[in-house]
Amino acid sequence: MKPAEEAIEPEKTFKYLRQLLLEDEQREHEQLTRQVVELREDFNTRQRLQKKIDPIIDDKLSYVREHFPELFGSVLTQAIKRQIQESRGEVIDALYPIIGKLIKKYIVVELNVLSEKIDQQLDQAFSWDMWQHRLKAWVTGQSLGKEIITQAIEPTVQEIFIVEQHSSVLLGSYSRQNIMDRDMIAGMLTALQGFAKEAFAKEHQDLQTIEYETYKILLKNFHTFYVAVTVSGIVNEKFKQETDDLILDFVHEVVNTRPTAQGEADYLSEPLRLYFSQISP
Amino acid sequence: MTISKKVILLGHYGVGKSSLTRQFVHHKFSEQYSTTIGVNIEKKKVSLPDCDVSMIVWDIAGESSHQKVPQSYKLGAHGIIYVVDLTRPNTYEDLATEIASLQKYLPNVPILVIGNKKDLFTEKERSDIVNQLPLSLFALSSAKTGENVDAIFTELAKKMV
Repeated sequence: MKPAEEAIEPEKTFKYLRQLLLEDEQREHEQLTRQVVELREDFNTRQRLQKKIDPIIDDKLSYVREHFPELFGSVLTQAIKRQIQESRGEVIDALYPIIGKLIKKYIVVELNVLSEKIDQQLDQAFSWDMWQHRLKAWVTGQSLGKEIITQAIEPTVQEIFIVEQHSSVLLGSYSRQNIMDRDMIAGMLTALQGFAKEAFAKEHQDLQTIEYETYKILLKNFHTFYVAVTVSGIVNEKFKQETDDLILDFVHEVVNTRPTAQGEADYLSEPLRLYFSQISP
Repeated sequence: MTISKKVILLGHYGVGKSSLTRQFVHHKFSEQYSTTIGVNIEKKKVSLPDCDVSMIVWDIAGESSHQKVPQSYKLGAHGIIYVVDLTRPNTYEDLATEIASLQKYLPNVPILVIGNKKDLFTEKERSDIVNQLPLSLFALSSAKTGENVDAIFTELAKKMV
């Protein structure tokens, strides 16, 4: 045997021996490598990972959905309670229009409308005015309905003021005519309300109406502000309730959806103008 | 931008609250005394470098203690001017108690204590009176001559914004 052949021979033998001894381990090693590569691909490929994880997440989600009250009920209740306690004013402002409206719609309005109808019917049937109207209509040849309508003065909203409670800061105003300084009006109205409260020592009662000649100021109090509506003409209960509902809607839809502008004057004037000009152009 | 602020004037009757208000708003003074019934409301805009302050001034009827003033007049105030009459010691005898009580009632609301009717004294008399006061005054004013009136309201406007 040549010296070179002598050197190759043991190497070949060792290789063969290694193959024989480590055959199983090598197979395992190759299998593991394949699995690692597959796993790495699973993790790095979004779709493949999603395919694997989605069923687990879905299971967990449906479990949470089914057991939500037991899992988070008490924590949520505590959080809501704390939130309500910490921002009672805002909660009252948010709920007041809804509660107020519901109560009004189903109790006060119906009762007052009923009462008005009864009064109207009694008045119409037996009043001296009605006989006068009938006589006048008969002489002039005009219809009785027309005659009565011209006698009645339609109530019209002239001005609306939204004023911050206590500080009398005017948050917004809307007017059909040029009136005196609105800040002064807001101040005087606030002082008047305060005076009425102190004078009659009724802390939880509010001044609701101020009348002068053919004008009436309707006042609607909220927790942090109040709304004053100046009306000309004859204000009947129906008009009063409609105006009330309009104010509640405006507060609910506009005021409560805006962040409060601390002390910034007139920030509600433009929304107020837009809202009320749409309703009564 | 205009910011609205409620300013209340407090102090005993006859110290010059209405005169200070009239001087500030209308630049007028009357020797004739007229009592304020309830409250009188005035408005004036003060221009500051960053904004305008619309001051709604509540000139409240004089009382020996602010506790006799209706609560609703004081609530919501952003600034207070407490006026004493330098010629009448009874208007500043309880000054320290009054101010402490007001600070407790309306915390974080700036209070300026003003000694009015400055024009009725000589320099020497004024300093003698000021030294006797239980609290240091923010300023001495004269509603009659208008001295320091605008400066007081402007300073309060700065403190309120």
